Amino acid sequence: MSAGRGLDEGQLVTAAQRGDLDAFNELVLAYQDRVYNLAYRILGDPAAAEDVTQETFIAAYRHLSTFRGGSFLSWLMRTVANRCYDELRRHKRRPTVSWESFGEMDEEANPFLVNGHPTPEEAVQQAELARFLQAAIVALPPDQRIVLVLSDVEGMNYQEIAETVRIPVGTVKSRLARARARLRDLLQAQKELLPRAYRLEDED
Amino acid sequence: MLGKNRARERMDELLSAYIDGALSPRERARLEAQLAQDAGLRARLESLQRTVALVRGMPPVRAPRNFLLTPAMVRQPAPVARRLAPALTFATAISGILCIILLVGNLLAAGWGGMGAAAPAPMVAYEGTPQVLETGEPGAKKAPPASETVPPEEGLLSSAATASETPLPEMPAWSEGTPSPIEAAPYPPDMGGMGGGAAPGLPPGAPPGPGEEMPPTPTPEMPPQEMAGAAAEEATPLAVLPAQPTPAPPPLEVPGEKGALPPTSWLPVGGMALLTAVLAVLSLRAWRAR
Repeated sequence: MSAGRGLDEGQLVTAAQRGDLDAFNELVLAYQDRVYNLAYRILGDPAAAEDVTQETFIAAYRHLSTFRGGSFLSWLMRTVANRCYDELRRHKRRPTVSWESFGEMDEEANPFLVNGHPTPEEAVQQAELARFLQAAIVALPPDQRIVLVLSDVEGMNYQEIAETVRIPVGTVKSRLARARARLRDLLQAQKELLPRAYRLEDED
Repeated sequence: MLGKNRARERMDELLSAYIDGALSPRERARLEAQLAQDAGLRARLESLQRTVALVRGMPPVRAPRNFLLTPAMVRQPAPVARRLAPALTFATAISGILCIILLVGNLLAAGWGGMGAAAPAPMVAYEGTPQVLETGEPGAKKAPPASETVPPEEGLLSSAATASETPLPEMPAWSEGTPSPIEAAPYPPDMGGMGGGAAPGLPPGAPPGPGEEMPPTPTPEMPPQEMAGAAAEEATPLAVLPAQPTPAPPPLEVPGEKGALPPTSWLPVGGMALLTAVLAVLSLRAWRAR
């Protein structure tokens, strides 16, 4: 990444570790979308995702001394995933976008509307698909949901997920498989709500 | 049914790992051979691949606002202090109370010691010296059983016996040669000398009442040997009495040491005061850290 002061990520982290809050805020500006996106995908609640994002940056700044090099973004994403996982376990938070209420969800609740520059028709289709997928993801059990998001949204490999969620790699594989299969079943069951181009056909 | 579900889950796990390229070469070869023969399995793989592609293709969500940090937001809390502050305050209070209790106890002990030092009379009794104290207390004369059985001509000795038989709530310690009032009751009146013990219940150093005959006390005019002799004369009947078992007398306190406590008595007070001060300082610092 390049920052406003012309420093790269490593230099900004080093400066922040010495107490330079401005340097850390440059990292915040660079990664806040990624952090918020992950939190939102896991929690399914914009307000909760905001809280966790802010708490993650505060915690990251306070614990910068524990960062031992490598990718700062990966460290940050592990931090936010951990906090989301704790949040799910602690409060058993219910998502604001439920699979059951998907059909009645209003347009303003859809965060995807702020993204991209598609044509009007594409934008409608994309927004509809995004809402549909998010509702299906948050309908998954929390243990499966976080593994699915870390794998297919964040792009972590099995080992990284295992370290983040603190479960064996074998458990990651089985949870991910169940999450994908369940998501597939949900999408197939509600395929009439999907745009025609994205409908999944039953394999049986 | 359960076995079929398990087999389906196992196959989904293989397909999921196949999508991620996480199968071993042997597992992959075996699965690809199955896929080549099973159209239904290929359809399941395709639907799973499309599902994964849909999730991976989701556009990212932008942060609804900036999450810039301010110095106030990142001020380090003091978690240890936060946890310890109430406990330290409680410990300070307990320590302070203990300190006050010790201090008051020592002060009271010193005050009582001062009073006791001015009354050395009981010490004579503890040393086993027979002593006669005739009391003229109205309460003592009203004691019905003794006054009724003892003839009035018995005089001083009977009067002393009456006094000794008077039940009084507090009994000072007596020597082995001095029977307790309860033990004295069965003896006939002519042995009234046995009541020659000091009048129980009299506070040490109390002034004699009207008509009381004080036992001889050491004065410049009377040498100690003379006084001891007089006391022995008064208590002569006691000599014929068998020694009565009496409880061990309380430990003696040397007159003059009660008023001034030994320096070691103040050590706990000082230690507790020091501990209270340290705890108070720690407690203040903990609360400030919060």
